[in-house]
Amino acid sequence: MKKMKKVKKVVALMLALVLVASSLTGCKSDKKTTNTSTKQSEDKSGDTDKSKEPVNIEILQYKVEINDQLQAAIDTYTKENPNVKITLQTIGGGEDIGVTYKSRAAAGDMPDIFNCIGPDECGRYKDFLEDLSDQPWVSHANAGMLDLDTIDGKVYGLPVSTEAFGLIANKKMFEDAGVDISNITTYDQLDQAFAALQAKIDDGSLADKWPMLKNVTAVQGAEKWVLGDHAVNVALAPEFKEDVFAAYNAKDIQFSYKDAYKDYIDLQLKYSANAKDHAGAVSVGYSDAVQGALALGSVAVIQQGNWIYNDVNTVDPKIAENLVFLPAPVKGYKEDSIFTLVANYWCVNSQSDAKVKQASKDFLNWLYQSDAGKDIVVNKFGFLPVFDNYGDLAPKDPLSKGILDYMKAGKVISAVFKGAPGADWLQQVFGSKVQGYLTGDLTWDQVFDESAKEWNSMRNK
Amino acid sequence: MRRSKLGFWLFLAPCLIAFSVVELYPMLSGFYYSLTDWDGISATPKFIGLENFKNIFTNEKMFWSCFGFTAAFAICSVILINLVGFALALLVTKKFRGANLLRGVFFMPNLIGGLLLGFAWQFIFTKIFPATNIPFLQNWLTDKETGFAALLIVMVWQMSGYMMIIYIAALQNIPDNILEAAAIDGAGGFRRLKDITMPMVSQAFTIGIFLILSNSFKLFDQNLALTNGDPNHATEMLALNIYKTAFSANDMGMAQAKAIIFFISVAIISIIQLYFSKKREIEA
Repeated sequence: MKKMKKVKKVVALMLALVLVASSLTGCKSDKKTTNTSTKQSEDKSGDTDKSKEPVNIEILQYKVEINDQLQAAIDTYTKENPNVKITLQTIGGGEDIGVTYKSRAAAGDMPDIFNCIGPDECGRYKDFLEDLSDQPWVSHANAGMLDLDTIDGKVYGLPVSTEAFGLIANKKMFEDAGVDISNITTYDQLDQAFAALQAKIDDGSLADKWPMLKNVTAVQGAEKWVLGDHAVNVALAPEFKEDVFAAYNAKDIQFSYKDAYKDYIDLQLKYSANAKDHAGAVSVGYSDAVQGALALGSVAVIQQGNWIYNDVNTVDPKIAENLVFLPAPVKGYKEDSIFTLVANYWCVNSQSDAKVKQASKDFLNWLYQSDAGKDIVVNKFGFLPVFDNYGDLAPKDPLSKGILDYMKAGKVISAVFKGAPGADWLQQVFGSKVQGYLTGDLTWDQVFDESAKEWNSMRNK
Repeated sequence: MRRSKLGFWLFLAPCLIAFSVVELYPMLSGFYYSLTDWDGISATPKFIGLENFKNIFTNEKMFWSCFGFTAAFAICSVILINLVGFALALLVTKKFRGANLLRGVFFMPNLIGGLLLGFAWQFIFTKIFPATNIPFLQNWLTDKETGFAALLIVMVWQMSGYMMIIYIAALQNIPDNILEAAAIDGAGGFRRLKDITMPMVSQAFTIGIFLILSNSFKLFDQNLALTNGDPNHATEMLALNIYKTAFSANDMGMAQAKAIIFFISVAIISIIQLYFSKKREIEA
């Protein structure tokens, strides 16, 4: 009897739960219908007063370093345009935003504004790319800036910024060692400068000023994007004449500048802590090299780009102020230049509602073309302008200034890695194989031969 | 009769619905996608039949080397984790001061998430080990053999406590009178362990071996955090290889095909193991 009662109680409880649950779902669907009905009425009234229509925009972007500043910019914009609501989400800093985009795309829930760069990615996300050719900023873009996201003459992206990478050096260390690095234009000069600094470190004469300093360089062997995405341009850019699309259309790769790549990496290994046993370099990551070594003063030179300024600045502003670009020497091509690239592009989701698309375009236009926006982009984000109507605006950090100097002198090589068969070839194939060289499992010839084979098979799939 | 049938389905329904939505449907759609060239984004995957499977068996050398690495890892971790877990259980079921505290301490690593644990140990292997200046302890994560050992150390450290709990429960189920009788009959400590304790907990061994075997095969977080497959895919395990195929090579169809081969092999291995372990078990 007692048992029976218990069972009844349980059944009653279950039923109650089901009731509650169904009432909850009932609420939900009710809300939905009211929502759509208000939407409809809004749509109707929208014809008479379009500017007041509430719009929700979702931005999903990858640049962690501007997250707070972008949020501030959004707050400013939404205050001026109270009908627009913008949600910002940032995924990056070592996390792969591509995974997020892919799962969102698969779920049919792509954000309204997202990042997409280069022929390979644009091909994948083609269904989501809104044609931006009619936007006012298109005519103001600097030469070549729109190329990567232009397909069949249609512009699909607004360039986020120009960036550059090369060998970044702490010039104060070289000065203290009595080594002049202001006029380095060749590989051999770099080699000599590094050797001179290493000699001073080894004989202890820099120990007072730079007690932590042990090696001239550090090789970030854990970061396949440093070995692959970036350094690989040393071999690819000259082979494809700095033309991304030539790389993109190439069925085969010859690696005719493979010696340049070898020498470039070997130069950095030679003066690093891993000079004798390269394997140790594989455990050196971005933060080890940037915050842990360069910013602490335990190395003088690493391969990186202007984006490291803030990371160094938060650790030691004095070192950050002394950072300069040294050329990334490509033997037999240009030994005095740094590599420039478009950071990424802002794209608008073509499958969003028409009014959301319009509002997204308006926001991007405001951010990159209004006076307030320009000031934010340059002074808050620290971005180099990519449009010709920015006047004298330019970021003030030494690395960005350095890029402008290199550009003015024409000492730049445009990076072509976005024409490679996707991030997979750059990192999982080439970057990984260079790691194989570092650990001693592969010879340089194996690295290049096997990577070339993979390139071919990926392109002929 | 009719009422109870209705009740049966009524109570089963929540489970059944949840199971089919989150298990059955994804799995079946996975089977379908393994027969396509889907890149994970496009809305119209092309049906290519068994092409992906053919490729895995003819071209994908990396998949098989990851398979070998994973299998070796699973075997080593099954042996080590169960040994350590059983030893710990024997230790903390002895009556001495602090036994309860030790149970907590040994179990603790299991409460930390795999990713966090991987990064914590990465720090140990790349920062603390080299700082000792002992040549043997340098560059553990940059070499296939030591990378393997490092993964194993992390797993043993994490999972032994969990196995210990299972073995403690089993050990406490052994009736004292059997052990006492054996002791009176003159059986020594080792003899009692080998002929009484071990057979009596063989059921727990079945569970322990099964859990560790399937978990080691499916290991992902620790692998991702600790080595991320570096250097040059030398320490890449199957789950990570499949993940990379799906999300960095944009080859969702191929990744699904790999996942199916993976699923079938893990299932076969587990079933074989269960069959043989069950045969050995005795009822108390």
